[in-house]
Formats: sequence, C-alpha cells, structure tokens
Amino acid sequence: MTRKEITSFYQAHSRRLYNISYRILLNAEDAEEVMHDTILKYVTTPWQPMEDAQVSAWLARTCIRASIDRLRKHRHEALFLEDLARQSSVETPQSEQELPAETAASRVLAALQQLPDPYRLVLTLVLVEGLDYEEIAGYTGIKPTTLRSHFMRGKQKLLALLEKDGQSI
Amino acid sequence: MDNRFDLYDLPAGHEERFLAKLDAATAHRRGGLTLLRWTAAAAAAAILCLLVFPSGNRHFLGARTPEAVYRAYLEQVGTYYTQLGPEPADENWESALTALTSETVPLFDQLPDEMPARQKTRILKQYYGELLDAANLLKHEWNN
Repeated sequence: MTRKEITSFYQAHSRRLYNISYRILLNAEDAEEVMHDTILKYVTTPWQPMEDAQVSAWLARTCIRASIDRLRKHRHEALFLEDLARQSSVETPQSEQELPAETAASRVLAALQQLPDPYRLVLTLVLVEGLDYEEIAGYTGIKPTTLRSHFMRGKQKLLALLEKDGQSI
Repeated sequence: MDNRFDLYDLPAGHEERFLAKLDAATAHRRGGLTLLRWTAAAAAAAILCLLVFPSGNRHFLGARTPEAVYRAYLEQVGTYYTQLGPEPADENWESALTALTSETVPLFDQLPDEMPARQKTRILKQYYGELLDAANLLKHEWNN
C-alpha cells in the first residue's frame, strides 16, 4: 500500500476501531494505541486480496482481542475473573469523554460505562459488536454459561440504570 | 456491528501520531532489511542453507497445521534462549532475539478464521521462518 492508500484506509477504519476499543477499555490513550497497532499490523503485513467485509471483520476481531488483552494487563487477572458479588463492589471506572446528550445510543453508552468490567465487556460485545457467547469465550477464556449469566445480570443492571435516569431502551 | 454506538470522538492529533508510528515502522523495517542483507552476505553457511530449503520452511519440516508451526516456532525460540551464554555477543543476540520474537498479538491469533488451514500454515511458516532465519544470521554474525 502507498502512504496515500494507508492514510485513506486509516481514515475509513480509525473511528470504528477506536470506538470498539474505547467501549472495552474506557481509556482514550489505550484505545488509540490499540487502534493504531491494529491498523499498523494490517497495512504492514502482506495479505492475499480480501473483500472489504473480510477486512472489516479481521480488523474488528484483532482490535477486540488486543483490547481485552490490554484490559487484562491493567487489571489483575484474578480480579478480572472474581465472582460477581465482589466485582459489583469494585469502584466503577469514570468516563473520560462526555457524550452528546440527545441520542438513545449515547444514553445506553453512558449507562454501560457505569457497569463493572465483566458486565460491560459482555454487554458491549453482544449488543454492540454482535458477537455470540462462543466467540466471546474464545477471546476471554470465560465459559459461555458464565458469559450468559454476566449478560443477564448486566442487562438487569443496565435497565435499572436507564430507568433510574428516566429512560428506557 | 452497530455504527450508531460509535459516538466517541478520536483524540486530537491521532492521525499524525499514527503516521509517525507508520514512518518509524517502515524505517525500522528498511534498516532491518539492510542489516540482514549485509549479514547474509557474510554468512556463507546460512546462505547455503537458504538455497537448499525454501525460506524458513526447514524449521518446520514436520509441521502440517498452523498449530504445529506455531508450536515448533515457540520451541525453537525457547531452545535459542537456553543456548545463551554470558558473552557480550550473546547479550546482543538476546536483545535481537527478544526484539524479533516479541509479538503483542501473535500472527497465529490474527489470521482470519475463514482462511484455509493450508494457507495459514504457509503464511506462518514463511513469517516465523524468516524471524528464525534472521535470529540465526545475527547469531552467526556476532559470533564471528
């Protein structure tokens, strides 16, 4: 790829990859680095020609894997896999970025940010990225049954947060 | 995939920082290739080996699946580390080995699931084979 092609490729994919990573990490600097590394890996590797959809899928998968990997590095793995009762007592991460207040999507994202990591991760990957439990289990090493449980409880918490805020999905 | 949720704006200067990383990666690659060409010219034995076998493949002669290639690669890297001694040349080689073999996300994990196993095997053999070749060439050069 020429530099011009790489720049154009970057502009086409950077926002989506940054958002995928940010929803998992809730940290702008980390999300940018993961997005950069993902695109850099793609543009500096010689590939067989791929369809646009395949390229997008590869980028998303690589970005999700790298984001989960980084999340694990930031938090002790034992803590990451701790039981739900203890997790819910962990201080929830603060949002770094203000979202536009009007849209339903922004309200859902704001509520998601208030959930502990395990809930936020599974809800984000299922609801926003459209992954299934088997696929998420492949990324995280967490059993699909546990993920389903995280999803159900996370969804309840999410709905409660939205109702508390006078909103509904 | 739902783009309605892509509401977070990218930090200012993100594209410039990416282009700087791209330049660094490209320069590193060019520099690395120059060094490898130079060392290859000096390492006659390694060149002979490269002529006899397709690039990298001799490291993975028995490996017929992507998993087997990656396992063989990890074993070979592990073997290299056990061969390190206290000499300055070994310190140089250890640094080079670490730089060559450190992968944030291994290529093995990044290849698309829908790619045929045969194609994955070929790509992994070439990629990891070239890394092992480079490590060998550098070791030979520093030992001489």
